[in-house]
Amino acid sequence: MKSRLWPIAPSVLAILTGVIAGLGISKGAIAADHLNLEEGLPAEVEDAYPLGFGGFEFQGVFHYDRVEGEDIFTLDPRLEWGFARNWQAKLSVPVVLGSEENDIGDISAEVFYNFNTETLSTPAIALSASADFPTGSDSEGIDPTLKLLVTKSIGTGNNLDRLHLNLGWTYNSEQQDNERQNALSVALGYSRRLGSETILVSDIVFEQEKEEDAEIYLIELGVRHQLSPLNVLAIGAGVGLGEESPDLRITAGFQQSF
Amino acid sequence: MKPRTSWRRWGAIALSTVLALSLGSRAIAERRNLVSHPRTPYRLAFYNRHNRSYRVAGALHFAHSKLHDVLLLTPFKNHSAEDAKLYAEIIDFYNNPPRIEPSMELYAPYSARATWRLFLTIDSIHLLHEMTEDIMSDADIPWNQKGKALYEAYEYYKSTYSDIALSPAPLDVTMRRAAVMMKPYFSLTRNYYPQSNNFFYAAHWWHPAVYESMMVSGNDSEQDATMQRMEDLFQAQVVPDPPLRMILSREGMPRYSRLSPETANIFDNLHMLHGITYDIFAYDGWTVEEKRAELYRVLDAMSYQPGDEKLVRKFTTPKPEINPLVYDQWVKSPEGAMSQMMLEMLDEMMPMMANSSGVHGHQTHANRETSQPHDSHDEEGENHDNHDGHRGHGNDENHHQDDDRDRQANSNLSEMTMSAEMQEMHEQLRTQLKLKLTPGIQEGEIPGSFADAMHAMMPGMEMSSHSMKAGESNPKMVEMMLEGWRQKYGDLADIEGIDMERDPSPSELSRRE
Repeated sequence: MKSRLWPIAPSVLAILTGVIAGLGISKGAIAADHLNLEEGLPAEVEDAYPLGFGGFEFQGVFHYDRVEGEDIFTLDPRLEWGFARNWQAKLSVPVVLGSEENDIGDISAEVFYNFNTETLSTPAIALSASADFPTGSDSEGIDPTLKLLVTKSIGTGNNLDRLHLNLGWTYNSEQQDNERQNALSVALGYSRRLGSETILVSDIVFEQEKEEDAEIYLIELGVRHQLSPLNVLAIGAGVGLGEESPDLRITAGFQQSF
Repeated sequence: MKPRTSWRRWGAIALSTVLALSLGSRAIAERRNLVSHPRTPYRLAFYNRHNRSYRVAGALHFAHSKLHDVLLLTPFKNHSAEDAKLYAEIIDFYNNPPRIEPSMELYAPYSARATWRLFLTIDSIHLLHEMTEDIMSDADIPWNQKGKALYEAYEYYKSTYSDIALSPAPLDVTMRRAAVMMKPYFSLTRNYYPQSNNFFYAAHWWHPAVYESMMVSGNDSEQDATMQRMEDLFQAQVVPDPPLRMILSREGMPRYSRLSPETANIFDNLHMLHGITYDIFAYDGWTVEEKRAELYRVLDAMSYQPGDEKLVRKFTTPKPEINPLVYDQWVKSPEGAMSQMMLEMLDEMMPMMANSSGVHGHQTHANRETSQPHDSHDEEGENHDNHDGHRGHGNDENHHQDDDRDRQANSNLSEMTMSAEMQEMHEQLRTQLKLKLTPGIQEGEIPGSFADAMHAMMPGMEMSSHSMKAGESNPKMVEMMLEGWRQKYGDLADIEGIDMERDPSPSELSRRE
């Protein structure tokens, strides 16, 4: 199978580089925020809070997955923009570097809206809507995903102890043989302040894959560490449960604010 | 056909979910409304150039943050133990400061959920602090352009946070609007959590000292050396032996206050807001919901109001040539602009208190006649209180009439001659207030808040139960105090700006002293 990576990657990288360069000379916003949990940095679970209004971030996520004896590396560069109060937009362009092939994955665009900040009685609630575009190999149709995100503190939350629940539903618009039409995902996470600059994140993830009968169970643990007012570093590891799950996942990533 | 039906079904479910969540969450919770830091050419100049001071700011903000949760989550009766415990933690943080300034939420997550608007307000002004510190630190901004950049930062703050921006008017005005002195919580933190409170007085010395050190040293390398000397002084003398009052901008940074009165006043208003919040949180007589109602009333009262720009330069500087690198008795003393302001407010309220105490004063016949109708409207006046009672009155004819009537009545009250008995009571109250304004419990001080002391001294005084409630105030009392301020300072000439044409040197300080 011919990889789609090389025809597309230069264009995508050029766009990302151009946007980043543009941010460097234009009015934008700064301040990375290690409290604000991001998908895959380093765990899948997200909190219900968006980037602050006016904020721009470049995020780089690197995954290593050991799946049935194969080593799969994924690079997931993203741009995130707080385009309005309590709103956030995200564009991501994953690149898969497997043991058999290199391929660009499905480019994804997402909008995220937070309804409220958490109170003593009400959790923070957000909703995100995203679409995966068929840029990956064998990928067909535009697949939308809707995700509900909830964040609730535990007790008095003395150490910023928080629980996070993500419920996702993805619709497979061009269902192929052996593919399911609707896929669900659930992530239950916990985060805690370890120090002024460091947040612990852990989660349990359940995901229905596109392929019929394929399901992933994953347990992850990691930290988010603020290196400077503009940079956050994330490192984590996970283990899979079940046949289709990765045996091991290692994640490293960073956030750079502009 | 099947997929299309499925799309519709799932779409309807999604839309219903969004609408339900939106309506539900808005009805019961606050919006988060976070704003990212602005990108400016001078961003992070303070972080890069004066990292030691940047980290000290982080420690101070940790202390400010943490005390919120300590007060909300621990009973008042444990004040001594909690104060000692927190102070030990604060000093540890000061000795090992964080590398990145923490947001308020980081160390006070409970308070963040209880009173989010407060933290949004504090963090927005901490951002203004960062911007103004960056401007003063950035040598690429010519010395004579600092004022312009600072004004632009103020404008950014005011427009970006238009719904929560604090007032640029002097604290004298906003404190009168807030009207907290008669509330049952006033003075509790400074009296019963003195170690933590006094550390904040040290912090409120530090903030002006940062700006004034830059103001006397200019853009060049002298700024770096002066900042280091200031931090050495803070560590060696100020932290171990803090001031006994909140130093105001006009006292600790007179030069900067003349350069950027808007931001200097906002910083004073924030620092006082910290103190008021702590008192509210320390008070055991209210639920968290009542504390939030009272705090949000104070936030409204201290917020920007149209016309505040005209007041920004209505202050004087008691020591315009102060050397920020000298920590002397004048700075340490509990008596200063803060106590003067509080005593003025007590004096302004006194006629009304005397009127309701049973220790009546003497009124002229004419005054009595004109004041009687107003007194009969007492309850009506209170019913007009809507937390932001002085906001947006301008076009309302009825409010104009009410204001005129209040002013007339207040003028009558202020003209009232107090009896000898009342004058003696007045002096005793002033003495108690001075004791209450001094951190800790002093000899001869009546325990509790200042309101407790007043009740003990004037048991016949009938306080308006409505205005003592959480979230309420007495607009007549507020207007009396504001009228008092106008009479004293309304005609005060605006303080002059400061000459920024020449880069200064700290060596000039010794010649001036």
